[in-house]
Amino acid sequence: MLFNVMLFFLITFSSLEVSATELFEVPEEELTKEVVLPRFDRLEMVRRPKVTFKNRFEIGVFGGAVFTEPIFNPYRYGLEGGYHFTENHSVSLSIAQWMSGLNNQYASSIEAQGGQGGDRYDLTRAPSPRMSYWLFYNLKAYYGKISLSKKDVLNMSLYTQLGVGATSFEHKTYPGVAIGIGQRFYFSPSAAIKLEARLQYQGSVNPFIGNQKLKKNQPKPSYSEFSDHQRFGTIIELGFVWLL
Amino acid sequence: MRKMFSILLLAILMIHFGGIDSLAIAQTAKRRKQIAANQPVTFKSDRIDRVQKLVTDNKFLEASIELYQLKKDKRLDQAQVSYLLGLTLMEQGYQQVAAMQFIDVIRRGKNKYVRSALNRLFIIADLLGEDSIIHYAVKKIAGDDPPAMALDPFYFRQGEYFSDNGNVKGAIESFRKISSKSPYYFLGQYKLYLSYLELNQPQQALAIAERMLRMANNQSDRHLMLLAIARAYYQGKDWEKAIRYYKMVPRDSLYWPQALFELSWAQLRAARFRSVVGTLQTLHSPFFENEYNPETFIVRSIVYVYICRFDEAEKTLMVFDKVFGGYVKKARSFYLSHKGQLRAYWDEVRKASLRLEGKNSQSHDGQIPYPIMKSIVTSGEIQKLLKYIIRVNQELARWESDGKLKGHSIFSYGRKVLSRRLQVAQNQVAKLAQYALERKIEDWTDLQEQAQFVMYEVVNGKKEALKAIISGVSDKQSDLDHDKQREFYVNNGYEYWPVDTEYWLDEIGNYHYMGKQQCR
Repeated sequence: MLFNVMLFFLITFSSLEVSATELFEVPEEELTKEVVLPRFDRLEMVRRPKVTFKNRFEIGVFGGAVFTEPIFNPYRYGLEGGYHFTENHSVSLSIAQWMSGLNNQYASSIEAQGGQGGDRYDLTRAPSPRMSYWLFYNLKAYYGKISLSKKDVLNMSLYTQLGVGATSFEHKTYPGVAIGIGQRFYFSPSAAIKLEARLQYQGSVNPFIGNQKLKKNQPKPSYSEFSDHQRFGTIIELGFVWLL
Repeated sequence: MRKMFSILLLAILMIHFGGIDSLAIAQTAKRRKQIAANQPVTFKSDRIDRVQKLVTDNKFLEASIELYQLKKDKRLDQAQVSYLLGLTLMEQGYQQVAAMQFIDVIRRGKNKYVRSALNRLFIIADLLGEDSIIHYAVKKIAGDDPPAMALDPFYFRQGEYFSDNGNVKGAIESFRKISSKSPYYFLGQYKLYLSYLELNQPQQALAIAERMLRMANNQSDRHLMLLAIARAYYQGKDWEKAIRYYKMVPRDSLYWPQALFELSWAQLRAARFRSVVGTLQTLHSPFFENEYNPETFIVRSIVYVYICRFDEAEKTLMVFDKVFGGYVKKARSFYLSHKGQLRAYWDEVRKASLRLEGKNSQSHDGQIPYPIMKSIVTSGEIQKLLKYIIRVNQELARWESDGKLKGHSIFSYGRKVLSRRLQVAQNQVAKLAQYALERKIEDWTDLQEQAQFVMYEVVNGKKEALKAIISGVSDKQSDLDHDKQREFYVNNGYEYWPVDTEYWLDEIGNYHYMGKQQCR
């Protein structure tokens, strides 16, 4: 899905590029081939940046997936809000709602391992995740721009994240930590698409208890019978952000 | 070196206090001591003996203290005492206080120390780099033999002196005498080049600059010579070659902003209007917001008028008036309320200098806007004086921290001399700053007149364009560029993209104006 989105953008911008190329001609001798940078009293790569961050709040919506979640539905969506203390430092808080159900790709084959009919495993008996709450500290590493169409310019920022948070399951809430990297593309001084990738380490429920108890023809186990375990998870999120 | 100096000094002491006629005695320490012990003296006192001994023992500071006390002894030849005091102070690195001793010798009129004092004074003046002392020494030496131990510095300073006094041919003669092995050679040749330009002989100037470009052994000199060649071509009205050389000054050069400014003029003269605007877009980027360059806005507006982009011209003039008009308004207010108040001008210079050196915060707390002060403070004359002030300040700090001097009469004398020199130099800086500010205010009036002329052309051009629309010659009202949009693209030689409100360090210098001329 993500690949399709990116492909869409690339195709769109590539088509614009053709029309922009026809706009002008610059004499060859006027084209600069230098790679050195001018020297000024203060070393600043950009003056009057189009997107400024300092003392600005932001809100956003996002959707994403925990790609290492084999049992439960890995997709989730949520809201986020943040505040930029400086041009480079910010904090953000995100709240995500997990989609209900099981992982379509793997869960049915795991369930089938129990047998047919009443012997089939029922993974819905395990407590599933409901909400995630994360607080991130973000450090902007790079602010730049890109012109894919040669007619328009997109600003972008690359940042790293450190986060602490928790994920609540039906019976219990588990804490966790995360590190991540994010990239934003600004369509205007206030609106951006964001793409974030994170590695998180957090507590979770182990859905595999004594196999017989997961079988449909067996009495439903209580949530307290499920053990806890710590695990790594990889997350990718795509969203829209508005700087206020 | 120090030993040699003490031998020489001792010889001088013995010649003058002991009546010895030859300097040949200054050979070895052993020989010196023998002479000191055996030669007859015409005037002798315990104190002279003590000075001799102190010099022999390299105790110049103590010798200076003794000699200063001898200045009150009317029985002694005071020219001689001052000269010797100057030598001992010079040996300790107290150049400014020593200079006053040599000046004292010279002012006493004809005496046998004048020539030596002049030579020493010239050496000190060259080290201190202060024009009034240099000119004093050069003027006094004129007609006499130049100092043998500082021939090249003398010719260089003499050339500068002639040049400052409008004697360009004399300056050329002096600069030509500088030996090619001298550290003054490169600068001397550059001054020679400038002298030829002043005489409106760009071909000779060009030949010198091209030769110096080949000889330049560091990047800074090389860039200066590229600029020099471009200027010679410009003066020779060879715009295309001038443009080529201006463009050869690399972006990381200290001369690049100046090259850009001059390039815009060369491009204008070569009728490369679109290129002019591209070049000026760089100079008008926020990276140059601390530069006082109102003239470039007039140039830009003229180009827009040439290509009938009247709205662009109007917008440029509006920026010119808003930005620089604001600066000049503040500067004028300061000028009117601080006439003759040199201290206030010195304070302004000091604040601007501190910021220029990065020792002050980026917020300028002076009353005259920083871009104006920056253009004043960076002028050659003021920079030279500021460097002199730093040297005198350093000498004063060293003098005051010298524990052995404290408690002696020479201590308060030296402090007074140095403080006075500082005061004089600061007043000179303040006067130059005041004069420069006055000129800037006057120039602003001229620039405003030019802006009004351009504005007249803008209004006239707009009127003609409207007439054309009304009479049906043209119905393309959109050509009048009502949206006032500028079309600039950045090109790094391979790719291009539009300039989009923000300015990047790696983009400046690569702007290309894409607006077309709209004259019909």
